[in-house]
Amino acid sequence: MTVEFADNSLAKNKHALETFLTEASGAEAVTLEDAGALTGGAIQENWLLDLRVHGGPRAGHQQVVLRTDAASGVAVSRSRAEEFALLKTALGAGVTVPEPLWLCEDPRVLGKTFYVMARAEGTAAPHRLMKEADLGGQRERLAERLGAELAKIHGIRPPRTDLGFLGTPAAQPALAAVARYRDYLDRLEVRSLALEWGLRWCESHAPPSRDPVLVHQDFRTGNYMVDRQGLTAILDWEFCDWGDPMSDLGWFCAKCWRYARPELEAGGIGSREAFYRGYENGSGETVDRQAVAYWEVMAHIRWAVIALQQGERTQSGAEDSLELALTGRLYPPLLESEILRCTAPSSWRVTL
Amino acid sequence: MSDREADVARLLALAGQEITESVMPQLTGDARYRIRLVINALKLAGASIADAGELGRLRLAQLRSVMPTESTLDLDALEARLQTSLRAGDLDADEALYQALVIIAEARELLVK
Repeated sequence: MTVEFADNSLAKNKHALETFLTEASGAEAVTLEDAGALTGGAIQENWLLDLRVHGGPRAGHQQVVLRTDAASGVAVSRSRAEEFALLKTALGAGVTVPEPLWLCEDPRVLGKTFYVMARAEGTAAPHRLMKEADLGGQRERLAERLGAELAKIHGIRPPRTDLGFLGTPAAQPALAAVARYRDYLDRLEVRSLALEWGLRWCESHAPPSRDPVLVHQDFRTGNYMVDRQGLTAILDWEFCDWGDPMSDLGWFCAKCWRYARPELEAGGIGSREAFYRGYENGSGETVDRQAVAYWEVMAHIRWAVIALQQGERTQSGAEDSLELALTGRLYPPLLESEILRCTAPSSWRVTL
Repeated sequence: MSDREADVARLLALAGQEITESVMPQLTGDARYRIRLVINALKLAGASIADAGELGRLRLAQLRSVMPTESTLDLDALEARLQTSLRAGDLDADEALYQALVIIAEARELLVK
């Protein structure tokens, strides 16, 4: 047993967790041998569990991941139960995801809802993808594969009874986003004229609405796992909604998610064309390049607003996290520069 | 910047240097990532102290140049006025405001880099 496990919240609820896992897995008994916190995820906690399963369809040693809420979340984040439902839907659509196993909404077990999923092999760490050229397999193939995976996600369309919690799609997702981010800034009492400039540009250049699809809304390098052969899982389904499919392509290609490789326009790992090719072959639809460029501007605004929200979580005292405090202070200035670069007066369509 | 502020900024810079040169090379994985956060926090705090209000003065000067008729407004009031005008579409593609925002953004970026 790790020192970390002996002292963590899961250890305190070991018996209740084992009882739940035994019933949910159809085993005779389950022993929780170890649990360690996984890095990544400022909004959720992820734990790697070592289980000894006695009897039932999963008998033997199992490594699974338990996912639950962190101390404080972001308002727009889906609940764990909703995320579990989204994972099941995505798996059914053929998307490469960790298999969702068991959902627990009984607060007597851990004091909060959680679910358990299969462990995906590999890593999602962007710094490793930037440094290790062979990670993720051949990179153009990886970019193309990611485009194809995104096309599968976008193949999920409303109405869906299993995704009823997503509600009715916004008639104009771009304008809805502008209104939402202005509202967030007002509530945070943040006045950023650079973000306001970008938001006004987005308001006056919104692309025509297209048929809504399931959008992942955090489909980027850092949120998929790879091993030496290629993709092993698409992660972090907590921001899913109905929306404009081009928004996911814009988020993936936005400069802020290319890390140390800005010249590789598909998430810092491959060419934009390979990514688009995978998407077009998978979806049978042509990528609207102008709309993607628009959503890249929106991506920088969105990330700046999220960073400010995360920073506010530490300023308000809701959570003591150096990582969140730095996020709120470091990223917005960098993002504002990029937003201004993309929205120079010459790029405006204005009637004077 | 006062002598006291300069002293604090220097102290933070030395602390960051010590961690970077003596502690960081011995660390790997998550511990290395965590100590990098600490170094960034020290850098940011040092830069904020060293700035000593310079950024605020730059913002005020730049924004006043966009709205010269509002020269009596303080920074907060000026930004509020510009925000309202931006949302109303009264400053769409305004070259003067854009140039001011770029200069401010560059200064803000320098503070965190």
